[in-house]
Amino acid sequence: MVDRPLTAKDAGFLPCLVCHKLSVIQDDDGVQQRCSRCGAKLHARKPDSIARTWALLLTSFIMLFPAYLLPIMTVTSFGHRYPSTIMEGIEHFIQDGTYFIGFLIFFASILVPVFKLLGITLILLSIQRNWKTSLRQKAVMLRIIRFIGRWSMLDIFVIAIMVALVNLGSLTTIEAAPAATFFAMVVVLTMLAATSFDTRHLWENTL
Amino acid sequence: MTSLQNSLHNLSLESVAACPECDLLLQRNDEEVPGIVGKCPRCGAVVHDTKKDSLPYILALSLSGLILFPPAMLLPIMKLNVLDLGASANILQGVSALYRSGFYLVAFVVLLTSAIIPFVKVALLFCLSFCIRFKLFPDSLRPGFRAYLFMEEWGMLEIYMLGILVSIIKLGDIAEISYGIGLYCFVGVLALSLFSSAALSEDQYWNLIEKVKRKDG
Repeated sequence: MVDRPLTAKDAGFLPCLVCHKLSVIQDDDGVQQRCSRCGAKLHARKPDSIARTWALLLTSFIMLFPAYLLPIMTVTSFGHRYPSTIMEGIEHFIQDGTYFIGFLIFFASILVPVFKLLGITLILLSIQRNWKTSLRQKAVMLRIIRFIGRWSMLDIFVIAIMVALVNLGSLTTIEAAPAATFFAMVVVLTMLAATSFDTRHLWENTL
Repeated sequence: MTSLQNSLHNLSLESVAACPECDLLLQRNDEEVPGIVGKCPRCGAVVHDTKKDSLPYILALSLSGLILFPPAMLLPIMKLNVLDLGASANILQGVSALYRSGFYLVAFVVLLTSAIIPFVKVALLFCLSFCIRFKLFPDSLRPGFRAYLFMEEWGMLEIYMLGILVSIIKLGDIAEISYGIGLYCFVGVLALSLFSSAALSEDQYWNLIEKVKRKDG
């Protein structure tokens, strides 16, 4: 008998990862068991969850550098080209006095992606190094990461609107610049990393 | 929600539930009434969130969303007035402008998250609710709802709306902006899709689908 709170796994149940209905594990050699309610394939944990999350995380970490260092948008005005990076774009807002928008972009494009990368790295490390402290705080952090992660797309959408709207011939045009691709990749990959991670690993063998 | 401490006997599938985040086995309480949220005592995740019967509302909301969707995508959302050089923009024009300047990946991501996935979500929700309401069980009913749940977080209309607001403030002091009918349709689609996802209870829908399936044989 185990000396810790009983999990579905201990009791011989398979939780459906889609609809959360429990099924009894059957030993029908090699036949893929499916959920009786939603029809999804049953797995005790998300397959290769930790390896997949590491792969997505490291890729987005590499992409983060070109995303922040290269220009994300180019304004062409009377023949002069003014490329700007994410940080320079935020500076413009601050200089113009629109502090709220400046902070919003700073939050969505800089703070959130960095917080996501560090947060998921901390959680993966604590599983692999067996750090069993502050598990509830880590669970809350991951919930926050999953909730706010998608809002980083804000900058990409602003660019998508501006390139169509500001197209005034030789007067002024706005175009996307290389960092847009890298930044979009960072957002998509970190979102995938947050969903591919199985939180059940965090609580494995804990009191 | 109460946790089960080493009591493997008397466990029937109907009397227990597992926390979706930490796998803790929990006793189902009798007080699982609609509208009450049950949380996992160990990790705090929502385990039980049965909302009130929402099928008719969702059917109505998703049908309205489906009707408003084409104008929201095709009509101009806003227009910039500078001399005679005004250019109008909507979601698809933004995508095509990105595509034309060679940003294929960005164009694809924007198209997917702000047009295709929101549309497929509304359409799927309407078809699913319609089938459940009229007791139809096509083979695609369960994969359809699984696909809907998978796409849930990839529809980003509300973030696009924030992007529209940021652009308005950014360009407001440079040039005059006029708003098109597309904007009103877009706001309508956004509100309808937010209301229908808020009203939707996954657990309730799965139970309804199971009932329809049993009746179908």
